[in-house]
Amino acid sequence: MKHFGAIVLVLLAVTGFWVAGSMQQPLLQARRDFHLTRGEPLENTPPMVAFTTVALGGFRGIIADWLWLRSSQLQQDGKYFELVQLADWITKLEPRMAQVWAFHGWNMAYNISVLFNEPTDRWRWVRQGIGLLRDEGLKYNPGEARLYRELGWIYQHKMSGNSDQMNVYYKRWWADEIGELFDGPRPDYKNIPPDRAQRMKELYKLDPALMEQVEREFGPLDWRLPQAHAIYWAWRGKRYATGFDVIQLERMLFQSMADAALQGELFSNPVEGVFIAGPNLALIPKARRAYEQAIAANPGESGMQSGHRNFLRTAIMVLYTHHRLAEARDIFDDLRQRYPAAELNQSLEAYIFGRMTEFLRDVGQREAIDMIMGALQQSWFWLAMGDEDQAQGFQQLARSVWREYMQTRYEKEIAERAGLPPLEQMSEQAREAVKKQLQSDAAKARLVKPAP
Amino acid sequence: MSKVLAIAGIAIRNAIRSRVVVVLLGLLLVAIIALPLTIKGDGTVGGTVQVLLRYTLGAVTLILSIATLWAGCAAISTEVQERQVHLLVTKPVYRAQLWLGKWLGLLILNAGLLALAGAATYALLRWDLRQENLAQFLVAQRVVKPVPVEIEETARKVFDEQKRRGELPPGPPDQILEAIRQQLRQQAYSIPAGLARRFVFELPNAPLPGRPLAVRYKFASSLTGKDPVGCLLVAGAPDRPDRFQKPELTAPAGVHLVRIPPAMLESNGMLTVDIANIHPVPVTMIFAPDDGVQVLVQETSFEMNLVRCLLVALCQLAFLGALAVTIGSVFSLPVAAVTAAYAVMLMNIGGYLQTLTTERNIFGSGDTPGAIDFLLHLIYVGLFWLTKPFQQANPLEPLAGGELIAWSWVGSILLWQVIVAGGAVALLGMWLFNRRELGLPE
Repeated sequence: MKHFGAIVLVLLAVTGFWVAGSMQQPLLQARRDFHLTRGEPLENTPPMVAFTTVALGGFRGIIADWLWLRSSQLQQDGKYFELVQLADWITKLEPRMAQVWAFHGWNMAYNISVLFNEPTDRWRWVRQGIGLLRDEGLKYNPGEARLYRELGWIYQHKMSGNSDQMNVYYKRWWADEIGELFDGPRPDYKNIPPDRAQRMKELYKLDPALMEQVEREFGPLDWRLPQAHAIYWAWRGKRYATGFDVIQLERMLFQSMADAALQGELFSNPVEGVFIAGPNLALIPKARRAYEQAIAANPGESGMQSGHRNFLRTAIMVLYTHHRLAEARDIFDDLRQRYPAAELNQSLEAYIFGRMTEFLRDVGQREAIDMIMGALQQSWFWLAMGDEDQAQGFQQLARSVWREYMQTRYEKEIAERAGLPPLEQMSEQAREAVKKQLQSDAAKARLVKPAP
Repeated sequence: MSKVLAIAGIAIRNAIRSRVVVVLLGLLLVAIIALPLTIKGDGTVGGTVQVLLRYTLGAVTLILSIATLWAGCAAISTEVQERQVHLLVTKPVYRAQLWLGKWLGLLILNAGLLALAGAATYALLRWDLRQENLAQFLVAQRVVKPVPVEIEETARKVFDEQKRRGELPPGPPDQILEAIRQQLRQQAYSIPAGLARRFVFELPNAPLPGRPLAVRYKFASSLTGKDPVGCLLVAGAPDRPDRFQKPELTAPAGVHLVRIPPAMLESNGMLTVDIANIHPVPVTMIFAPDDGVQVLVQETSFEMNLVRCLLVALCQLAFLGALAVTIGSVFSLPVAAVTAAYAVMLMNIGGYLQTLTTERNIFGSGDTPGAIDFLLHLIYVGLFWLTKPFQQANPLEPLAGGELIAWSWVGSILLWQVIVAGGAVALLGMWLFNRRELGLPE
């Protein structure tokens, strides 16, 4: 019996572990019941995270600080290769601090990416930022609205916006990647092959059931474009949002909706090298509704109203140039009623002409594409209708905008990033789009003619 | 010497018999095999190579450093504690020989383990990335800075001219002169819109023809934000009609590499690089004088660089061994271990110590420092100079970054850390051990 004491101690230890283990579930439930945490308590934590958070105790803060200092120094010295690993360790040391995940995701997608000249290098870092937030940050903090917001922001601003000069590459590569998941702009939700559904969930964290809900509420969306993903993540984050996050996520929703309405339908033909994001006119009513709901919910937010006004002004132009006159007139009336201004005290046609002239002075790439595609479609439409004069007029408009825009972007480097596709290529796309809408063979036959 | 070797042999045999070597080998193997499976690179082959080398060899040197400290501290102290040393000192062996034997045993053990770990790391790196073309990443390039722009004479002229006109700002003359120097230096390394600057590089030992050349540059932009700046990089002798040209739309604050055809190097080992700011919007490119523009030239093989890196690491371990054996020959094992750890910590906070040496008012809040401040200042200055030989960069950084570890660096580490610092510690250790009374009653 000389080991009696040791045996008793071992038994005590085993009993202690058993009691602690059996209390785990009730404690987790109590945390949920009393709303002691904003996110779901972590279960089945990976061993590395469990080790760092429990075994290192208070020391993990010191280690995280040291790693953070090293990371900053390396970034300053231009030594980027280690930064992914350091960000991984820092976030794993403090896995429930959303701001740590948010910082590192943003740092990689924004700060590090822009230090590179090559678009492939930049894209790699934007992907690293997305991956950190989407695949890791949200796994450990599924209830943190801030992380949804940060993730959505990368899609909305970094990829969909044009502040980064390489945004065209990001859009193209993202479209190529997502295009491999399903044929066309969105999956056939009822018949997604299991392997595809699994890839969507595992690689892109896209849940087809949730996508379908988003589609019902905000669609039809083109998931090959980043706006759809900004909407998806903002929508998912909204259920956890409180305080300022609510407004931020609502903003992301209606801004991305507006973006998708004006730039959310992809014409892509990899064989021809065609990649044009044009307006998704079906989304305009839903984008309007999203704005209206947000303004009603936040009456004091003047920024929302000014965004709404700008959206309506652009929507009128886009609808008019796409020959959706009734809808353009409807929005024009709405705009006049909500935001009275001197420039609106005239007919729709006179307003459009004034805006066109103003528009040409300081037009951006996406507006130019919208404008040209709209004018070209109008041109083909009127040609199909047998009105060659009108067709000629719209063709002339498209040519003027294209020429005006490219006049200041003729250098190869700038033309590659911010330029427009050749006019002939856009014209061909417009002809195909119009042809699909036509019913009669006679009208279709008129489109065989060369461009007016 | 044969006695020293015999003691070293016994120390090694003891280490093997007590399974220290087996445990160390196991730990090293785990580090070499497991780390590459868990470490994330930046997604590029080059990044993977760098991160593997940096972390795997980093873990190896860390394990060996800790083991050396522990084993060094234990080498003599446990023999004293267990009274085995009583048998030794009765034999015709000097205590200095005992000290040297223990240290040499550690050194040989470290050399063997380091060589094994280095070879295994290299083999695993080759194996892991066997599908990739590693030739462009496994390199050892000398980093050459541009010939400094002569500003001293101009600075003095400006100073004298201002003095003659009575336009010197108030303040001590040496500070005014330094301010003029800084201004001129900044002008010399800045490129305003529409202008170009010339950087001349003298490559020591003209490289063999055909060896890859590259220009590495980094600049700050006078504009806020990170909008890229358009520039034109031209390399080659100024009178050459076919100079290499590369227009770049380049991001400020990033580190950029441009490969230059080896033919652009002049026969006397000179390389001229012109950078023209061709950005359409007025913006100034500002380069740091030291690392703003550098030339990288392949000088030796990666394998040779790896050997040099391991030699530097071995020198550092040799010093750690000397330090630990010395402390262990004075104190008992726990005290020795804590003391050695403290000494190592001091050696690794050189940057902080340097900052402290510039502080005068350490305790006091008044204008004049007190006696304690003065005393602390002296201690910090002393500590800083004492630990200065150990403030050298980690050899793994250049190895992983593909930069040359020059023999001169290996030599300076050998001289300062092993011969000078290690020798001083050894002499101190032998002297203290010699004076230590071993037969004291408990």
